[in-house]
Amino acid sequence: MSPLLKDFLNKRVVVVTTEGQCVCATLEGFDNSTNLLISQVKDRVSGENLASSYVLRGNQIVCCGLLEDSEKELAFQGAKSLKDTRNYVPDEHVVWQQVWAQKQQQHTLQTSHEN
Amino acid sequence: MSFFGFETGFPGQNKGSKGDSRKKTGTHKSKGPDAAMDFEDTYRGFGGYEKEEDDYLNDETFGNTTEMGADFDFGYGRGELDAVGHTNAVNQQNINMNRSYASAAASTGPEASVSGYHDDGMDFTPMESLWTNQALAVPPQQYQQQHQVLSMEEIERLQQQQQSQHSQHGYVGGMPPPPPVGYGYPPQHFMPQAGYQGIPQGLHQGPSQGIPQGLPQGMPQGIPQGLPQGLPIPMPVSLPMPGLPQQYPEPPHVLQQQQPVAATQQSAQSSFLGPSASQSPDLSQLSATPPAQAPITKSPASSAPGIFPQVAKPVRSAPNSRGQIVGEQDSRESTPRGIRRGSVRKVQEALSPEEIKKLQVRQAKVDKILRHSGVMTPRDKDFITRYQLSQIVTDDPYNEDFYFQVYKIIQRGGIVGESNKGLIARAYLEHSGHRLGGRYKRADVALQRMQSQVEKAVTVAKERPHKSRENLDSAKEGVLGKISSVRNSKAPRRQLQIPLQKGDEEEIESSAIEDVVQSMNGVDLSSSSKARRRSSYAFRSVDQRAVLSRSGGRKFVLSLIETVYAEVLELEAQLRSGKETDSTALWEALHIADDAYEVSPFISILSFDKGVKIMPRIFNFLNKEQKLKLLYCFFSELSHLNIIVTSSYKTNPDPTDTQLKKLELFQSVFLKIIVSFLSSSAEFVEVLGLLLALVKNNNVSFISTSKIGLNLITVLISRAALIKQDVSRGNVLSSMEASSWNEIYDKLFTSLETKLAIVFPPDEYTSKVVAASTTGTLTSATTGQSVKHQFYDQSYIWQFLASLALSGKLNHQRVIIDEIREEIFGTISRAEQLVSSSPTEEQQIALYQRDKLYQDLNLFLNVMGLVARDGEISELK
Amino acid sequence: MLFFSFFKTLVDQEVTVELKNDIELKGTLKSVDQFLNLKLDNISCSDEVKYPHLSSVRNIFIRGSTVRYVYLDKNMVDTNLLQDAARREAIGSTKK
Repeated sequence: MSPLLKDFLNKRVVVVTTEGQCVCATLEGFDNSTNLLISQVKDRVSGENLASSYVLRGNQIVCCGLLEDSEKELAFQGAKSLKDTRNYVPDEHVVWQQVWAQKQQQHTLQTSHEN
Repeated sequence: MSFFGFETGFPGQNKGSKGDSRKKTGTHKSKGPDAAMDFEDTYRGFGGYEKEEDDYLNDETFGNTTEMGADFDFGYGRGELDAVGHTNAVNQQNINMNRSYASAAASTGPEASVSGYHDDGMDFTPMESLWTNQALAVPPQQYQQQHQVLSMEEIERLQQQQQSQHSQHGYVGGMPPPPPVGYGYPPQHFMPQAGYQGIPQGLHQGPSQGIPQGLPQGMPQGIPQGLPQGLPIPMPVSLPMPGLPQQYPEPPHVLQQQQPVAATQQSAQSSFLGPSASQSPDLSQLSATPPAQAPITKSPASSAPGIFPQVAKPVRSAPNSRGQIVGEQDSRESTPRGIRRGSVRKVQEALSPEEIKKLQVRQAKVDKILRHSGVMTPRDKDFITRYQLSQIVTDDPYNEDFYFQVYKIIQRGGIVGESNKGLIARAYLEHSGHRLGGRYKRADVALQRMQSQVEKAVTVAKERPHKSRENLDSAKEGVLGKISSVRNSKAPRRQLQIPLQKGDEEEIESSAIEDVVQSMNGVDLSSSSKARRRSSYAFRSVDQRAVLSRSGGRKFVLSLIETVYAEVLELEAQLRSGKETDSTALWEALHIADDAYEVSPFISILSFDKGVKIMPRIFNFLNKEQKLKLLYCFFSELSHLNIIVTSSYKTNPDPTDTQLKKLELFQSVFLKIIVSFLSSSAEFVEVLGLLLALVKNNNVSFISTSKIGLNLITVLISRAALIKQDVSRGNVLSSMEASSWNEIYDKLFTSLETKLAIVFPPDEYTSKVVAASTTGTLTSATTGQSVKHQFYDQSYIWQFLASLALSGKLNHQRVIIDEIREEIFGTISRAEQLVSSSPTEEQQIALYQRDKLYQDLNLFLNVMGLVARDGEISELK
Repeated sequence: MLFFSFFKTLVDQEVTVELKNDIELKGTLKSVDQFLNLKLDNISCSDEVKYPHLSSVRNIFIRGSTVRYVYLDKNMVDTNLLQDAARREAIGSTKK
């Protein structure tokens, strides 16, 4: 359950998703696993209308904040985009390739020393 | 569309005058594209299809091509069917019968327009929906889309308009159906026929007819039936349907309502034809035909012929009194049924662009209102509320919300209130030895208690001036002469030796001591383990791993601690629930009497903070004998105790902050237990036994280099002294006890003799402790303003010396003073220097510190009737 | 339930929550549920310049699954009690 979100019902909220997207919307409903039903979805930065209503799966939600001042639906332009929560290391395999290569090198060094 | 009308109106004519119908068809040809359709053709055609094994429509009819599922509602309209005598299942006979009616109607009815109308239903999907609960395939007709936008009001209005048109022109044309006339009929009767009739008509006329109009025919049938099963699903998606939202919360209701809806609707459809028929030239014929209808109906169905007359009746009356019928319709418009009908029906209506626009606006409004309404149903909200409540109220808050409950009570600064939770938490606190639950909060308390014990003993001693007098005199001769003249701090401290040698005095085991041992009645450990442990006490290293390995290994000890915790928690739970507690398992877990290990695992348990912390709670569940055994084990193997090793300046000259904290913890927890046990329940002989265990099995001089060790010795001997004083006042100490005490004291003293000065840690060590200590508990950091004013608190040493001197005879005291003379002078000179060297603004602090130094020193000196004051030692008055 | 119980004791305390998307939010913990979803009041973002997205938001719901750290003041925690509670939890779960 998330009774915590009850106070936000039918109010304008700012939702940050795990993708790093930040939108402004009206909270229409939610459930136990934080699935959110939102409407009048706008991008928080660009103000672009994204959808008239939308369901966000709970596992996409990072946080959902109550917008105090509905005038300020837009964060100022050019705000840096948010990170996602995955902290994915790009080209991770390259890192491990190098680690591997280093180990190989050490190994060969050792063996050559032993010889 | 209203096959009904045909049925009722034309059956007779149907049969009787095929020629007429054809004629009519001909007449009205121009009115519809399909007017040329010949009844005979269609009829035959249909019959042919039916007979063929591979009727290509068969699947449509019986649903082979579609997964029907098992959930179709044969019960739909059942009541009516039964009333008419039809069976629920698709009845071939019925179909035939209906077909004949339908075809008859087509041929007789206003011909082209009517038949064309039916033909439009060439899309068979709607029929499928009759049998399955699948969603209707939305037909491509423009029509349909337009209809979706209709609101019921519009529909009503339209119907009215159309009706008036009909009445005026008596002709329906290609217009979609809205025939108000039929409202006069009791819908139930029309139902079955309408349902069945529609099918065959669509089927047999279909192939030759245009598509556009067919849908309206199929739709109304499909929808009503689909609804009771799957409900809103089959509905074209965006119907505004004012009725729908209401239906959601109460599906069962819908089911009931939907049937009437279908009925009315169909009645409406059927009635549509009524007027048109009546307008036809053969009107009179039509109205006359009903009798002829009967045979047809009867022959195939052999069912309820009585119905038909009823059905037919209104039709017959229709031509006669149209106005009356209209009136009826009007009156019904306000009824819910009318509303429903309208909502379903709008699908078939055609609208002008303005109307559509209006409707769209309206729909948008409704949409806005209804959007998301009901997304969180009252049940959802209720669920969440209940969930919240369930979290507040739990059956077992103590178990499920333990941390929170207890924490909150602690935060409130004590146990408040008599609530259930309060009691629970109190039970925990009382049994857990938690800092709030215990009687004392700080380490100082244990120390203070020990100090007060010493002071008390000293005071008692002071009250015996005759004895002290002798001490004083002798002390003066030996020591005091030098004091007045020299402030002796120049002599360097003697180089300290690590006393690895065993005291040779250990062999002296007099009979008296044996008596003590005996009297301890099973408390003593087995002789074998005694020997084993004695052989190992030379071990000293701050590194506790070696000790741990000799008591089962680190892992073993840690798991032991957890076992002990589990036992204690279990026992506490039993205690709370008022059950008898059985500490056997706990005792086993402590491994105190376990000889299997070189060092008792219990000693190793005390190497860990959590092992120390659990001790008070363990003590709650041990009986006196067990406690005594535990302490005996403890004192016997004191040398292995990690905290002794850590707190000895010899083995650990560079104490870290962490180690000092450990030390403080040990003092606050375990020392406190010992002090309170000794002062509350230990007999004199038991104290002696513990002291003996300490002296016999350990290198006392090493232990005395450790603060904790010195504390422990002090506790024992001061307690013994106090008991002795008490006893000597009242009861007489038994000779055995007295002699035992003397012997044990002698042993202790011998082991310390010549090494007494080493109880004072070297300056390097004390300064390190002062520097490392951040808490100030270990030092008398009275101000904390500058390190300069912090100094190592030696009071514990003076307490030890005081207790030692207290129980000693004159010669003992003389030895003590002789050995620590320099420390006495050093303390005095330090006290005097403090004041003289301090800047004026810090005089107050310096004065306080000086007083503290004198106070500590005098505790010892007072035992011998002396007092140090203002740099001088004088006789105690 | 231990951590739920634990976080409940932090209600009305000021905590800093670091999210997995690196945002740090400081605020008063107002509420927590059994998923450890948190609700903070009077939040301030540690890097408002970089992440202005939550400006003009004071009251925020945070999904527990996206929390990386919760920074607490040391004296908000009763370690001994917590250890005991953890033991109870462990005993309880082995019994079940």
